[in-house]
Amino acid sequence: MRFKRVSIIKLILGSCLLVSPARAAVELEQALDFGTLVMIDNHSVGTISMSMDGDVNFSRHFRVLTQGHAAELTLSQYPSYKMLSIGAAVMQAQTQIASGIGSEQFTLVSVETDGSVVTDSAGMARVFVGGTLQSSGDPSGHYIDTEYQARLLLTIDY
Amino acid sequence: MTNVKTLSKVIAIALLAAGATQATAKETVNSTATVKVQNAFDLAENTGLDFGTLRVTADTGTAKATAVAATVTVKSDGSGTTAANPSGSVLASAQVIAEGSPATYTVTKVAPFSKMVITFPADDSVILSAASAPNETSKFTLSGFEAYVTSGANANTAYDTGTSNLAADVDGTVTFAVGATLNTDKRGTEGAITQYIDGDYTGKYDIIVAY
Repeated sequence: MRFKRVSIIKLILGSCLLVSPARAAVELEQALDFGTLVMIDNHSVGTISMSMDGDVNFSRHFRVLTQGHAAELTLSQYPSYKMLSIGAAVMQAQTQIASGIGSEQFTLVSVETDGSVVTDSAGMARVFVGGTLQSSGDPSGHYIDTEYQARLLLTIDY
Repeated sequence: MTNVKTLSKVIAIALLAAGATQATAKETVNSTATVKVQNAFDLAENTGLDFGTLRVTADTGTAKATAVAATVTVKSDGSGTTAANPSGSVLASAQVIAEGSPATYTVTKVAPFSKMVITFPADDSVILSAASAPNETSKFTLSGFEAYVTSGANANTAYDTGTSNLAADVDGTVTFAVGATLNTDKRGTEGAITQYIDGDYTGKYDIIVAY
């Protein structure tokens, strides 16, 4: 009879460990990428938006050489059919380049994602993140040919 | 009584465990947003502008104000090389001995279907001279630059500065040809110019292509 009680306690603790976030995995499959652009006009602020579906909208200030893609994350080892709250926030809006100086910069003005996602039977879910980027609109500035990066933070909560 | 106490422990432990789960159920991921700028593209001259071989004389005996010029035109559409002589003048003249050909250019690595603008040299800003000739030897000037789109989204049409119809294809490539008119020297007697010598006359010019 005593042995049986101990078993019940272990079983309950075991269940709690299974749903512990310490064992959940978040894999960034691909980062948010606005593609390769040509800046044809910086006399006013231009915008390029990447939707969560990967659709691109851009103002007349740009031409798109190669299309980018939304960020994609795979969540795993969560409880089955569990609703997870998803958040995305801009951590560093102003872009940076490897060389550090000598160029105008873009501003990551917003990021977007679904507010929540429900895991499947295997405890997995996929999350997509889009965003909007703005050019400086300063005609005296110059965008050099290079890669520009901003930073964002994604949170998964339940 | 013993059973009740044991059950309480179980519930307490379970609640503690559940509470701990709620307090730390959060994952954060730092990520980047990337964009690449590639404003540069390639513009290559495939063949230079060639006015062919000419028999030509300049109006060396008239004052600059009334001096006239003969012209030789190479059309960008490849329709040939034509000479035009001023009426009544026996001094300035041109005849085509061998046909010339337009310059040809290729633009690559631009955004697909982008419309580009060509900027031509201003009239008479380009001077052709013979490398070995004295300075007073007659020179040529170029005017009337024009272009013909030979490939891309608007292939086989005359370039129109108003509509910027130099449009790349789906691969970001477009080709075009450039023609112009060659003018004989009109510096007149003030320039104390002498007639042309036999030889190659060359000059440099810039063709600018931009989005």
